[in-house]
Amino acid sequence: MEKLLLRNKYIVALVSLLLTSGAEMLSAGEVGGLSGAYLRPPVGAAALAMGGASSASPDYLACWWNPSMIAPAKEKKIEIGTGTRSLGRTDLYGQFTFKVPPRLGMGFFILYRGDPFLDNLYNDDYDNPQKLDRASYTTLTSKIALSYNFTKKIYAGINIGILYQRLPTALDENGDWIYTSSNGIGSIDAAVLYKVNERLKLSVVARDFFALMTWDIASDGNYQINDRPLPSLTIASSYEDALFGKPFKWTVDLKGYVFDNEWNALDHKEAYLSTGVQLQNWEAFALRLGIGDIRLNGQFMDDEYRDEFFCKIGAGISMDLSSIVKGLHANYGVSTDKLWAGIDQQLDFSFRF
Amino acid sequence: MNKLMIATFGLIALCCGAWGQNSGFFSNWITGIASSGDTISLLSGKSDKITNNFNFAVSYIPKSDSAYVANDLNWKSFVFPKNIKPQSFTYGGGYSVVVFEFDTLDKDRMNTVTLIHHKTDKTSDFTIPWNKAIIADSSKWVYSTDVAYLDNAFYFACRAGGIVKWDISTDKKTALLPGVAGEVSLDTIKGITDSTGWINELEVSNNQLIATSSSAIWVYSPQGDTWTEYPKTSADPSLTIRSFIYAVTDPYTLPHALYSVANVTLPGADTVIMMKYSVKEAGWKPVLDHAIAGLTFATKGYYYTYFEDDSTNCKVYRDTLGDTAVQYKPLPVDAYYLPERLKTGVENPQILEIYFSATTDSSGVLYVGTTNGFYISRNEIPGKSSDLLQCVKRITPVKKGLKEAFASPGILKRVEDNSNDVVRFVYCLSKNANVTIRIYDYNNDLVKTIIEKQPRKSGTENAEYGRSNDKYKDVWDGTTAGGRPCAPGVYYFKITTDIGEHAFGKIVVAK
Repeated sequence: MEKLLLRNKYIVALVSLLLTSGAEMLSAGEVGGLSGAYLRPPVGAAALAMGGASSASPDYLACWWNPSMIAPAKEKKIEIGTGTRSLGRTDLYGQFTFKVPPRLGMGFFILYRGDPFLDNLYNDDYDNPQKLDRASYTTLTSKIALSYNFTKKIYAGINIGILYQRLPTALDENGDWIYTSSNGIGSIDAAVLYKVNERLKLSVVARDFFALMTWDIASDGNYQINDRPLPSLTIASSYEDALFGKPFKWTVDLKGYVFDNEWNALDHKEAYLSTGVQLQNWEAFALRLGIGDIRLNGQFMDDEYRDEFFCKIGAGISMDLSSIVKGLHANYGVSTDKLWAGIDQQLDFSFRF
Repeated sequence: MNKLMIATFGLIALCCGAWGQNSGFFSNWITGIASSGDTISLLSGKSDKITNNFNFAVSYIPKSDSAYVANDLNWKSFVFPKNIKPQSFTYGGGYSVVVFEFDTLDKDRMNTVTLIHHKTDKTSDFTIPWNKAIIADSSKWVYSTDVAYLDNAFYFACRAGGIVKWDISTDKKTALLPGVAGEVSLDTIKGITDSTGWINELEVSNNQLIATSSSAIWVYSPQGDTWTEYPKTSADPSLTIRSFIYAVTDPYTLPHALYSVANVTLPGADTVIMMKYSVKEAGWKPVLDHAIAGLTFATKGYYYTYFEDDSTNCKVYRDTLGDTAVQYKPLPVDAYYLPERLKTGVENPQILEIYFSATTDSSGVLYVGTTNGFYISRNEIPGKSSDLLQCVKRITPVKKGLKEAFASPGILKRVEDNSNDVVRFVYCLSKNANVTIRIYDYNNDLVKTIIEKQPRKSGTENAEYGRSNDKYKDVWDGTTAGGRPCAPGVYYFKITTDIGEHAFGKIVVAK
């Protein structure tokens, strides 16, 4: 393990820096409540199990995690999955990627995320409230990704996203929900990956840059409000070696929020650390463990920080089902949420051909 | 009301779709107080931003019985779409009648919907399109603006310039025209479009019907079938009357003087004042220069009033001017801020309706309808009373032990970032505890700490209305800890305590 840490010295050094000197500039959290919260939870069972640390070497769902990783893949991939999270949150996602020889890769990704059974909502009579029928919260995110293999060590990728959100606002005269929606085209994710050696990968991923959604308030569209999801920058690493004679992978993601959605510097910058491991215990079976969303905001001794230090702890498995269908993998991940309101689970299948 | 009428109304009610169905919705906004005989009838109503409904209810209480305080008034509730709002309310012969304004998109095509409910009726309610059940006309000016009850008949003021009389014992509908003796057919009032002749307000006082148009006040005496006109004649040279708003007589003091509230022009200003009609000088004289939102007369010349610019204050005046004196700025003999006469002193209700019912020559019962319930002073001595105003309101209980915790309302609309809307967290603890409430976004990132380790009482011990939350502190305005407006989305709140009870809930922040 000591050898492992030494080899991953770049990330260790970076994390140490942020945990010490960098912590002073990162004070009270401010990300919560800013636009794009639904874009922040990890997608995919593998990422969920590894604490959300999948940016440097996603086994699949590269369009979401790191578009630069599409080009290195030799096969076409189809991935589909679903998951439920605490408090009624639900995911449904799919991706198709393929290589355009010799150096280009392309991918299409779609994610439904929301709460199809948005319940426990009440009307606005405080004294005698009435529970309302279930509503739903819907978001759709699609990405079209391009990836380019510059050298055997350097890859780059970019994707353009289309965003859609729909929220309930009131009931109509028949008691049916009235919804308001927003949409936007042009959200940009960009990634660069540097393969230091066969074991170590380093990557930088910028997410949700230039994202803009527009809410139509008036029915005639004359009154609109812009909603700009918060951009983030992730520094990530992946280290692969052997542990106890088994294939082993250790990943680290450090995600930072520096600017708000209108490019003003946040008063309180914020960073989150996630890390995970994967052990290939048998040929067709892998175990994953992770801890994610550790907020680094420099207030370790404050009550609020300790009370809210509910990082996510994940675990999961991966099974190679090639014995049934060639190229088929199944993944299952489970994780605590940050509120201890329940658990998050995801199940997905990856098919390579 | 005979069976045929009930059947007719029931059929019409079916035609009205979902209107008027009893859903159990109820609001503590007491918008109407009406009295006849030994019964007080109450109307509550408030529009709901989330359901887009107007929720209202009627209730009946005997004047002599104090048990209704404990019995929660036994409300009968109804729901209408939000574009139907109560315009006037009266009670008589066992029936509560509400005239609703049906606000269509075309402002010139307003209609009237009338609800009639009998106090003994526990099972059904009737919504009656005015132009079908009361008057068979749908021309655009034939809609009702007010209703009053007198001698077994309801009188509906019509924009078309007349008054429809509906005798509930015979179901006979006839029309009255101000200044014209005798009853005429309903067709007579059809098509009158002169706005100065529109009847805007009806009041019943001293067995007389008082009809107010913008140009004149008419007092009708059914016994003699006589009309008396009080035109816009000012008895004060500095006063020019532009239009009347409403009029009423003092029912307790002889002679029963006629008062009106009117738009007037005084030197240097157009304003709204209260006036009294001087019989001797055959003209109106000012008694109170203030825009009155509502008033009720009490014994010995006192009257209670509240103003449009301050509906939390109730002021008591006494008119001792006689028939000739002019007065613009009298000092009230008593003035009180409603919360000062409440036990809690916490609430800040707005007065919506006020009514005094005399029980002796010098005292009576004061009923006050507010945005925070129904208030009663049982031994009100005008100008002297220190009797507490007792509040009657319905608060739906919440399951204790944080088994039921929610945000009210569940949807926070932030159309503008400077919106004053808030959500309140409603919960009930099983024991006194220190409570923390935090808001999280979809990714469970902390948005804001609302309260942290604040003591809250259990719902069964001392907490107001069986709820543990502080109505004014356990509140979220939709902003982050840094004061930014939150982005639209679904948010979660978490309530934790030091007694192990905790709860989660959802809030939608929508643009």
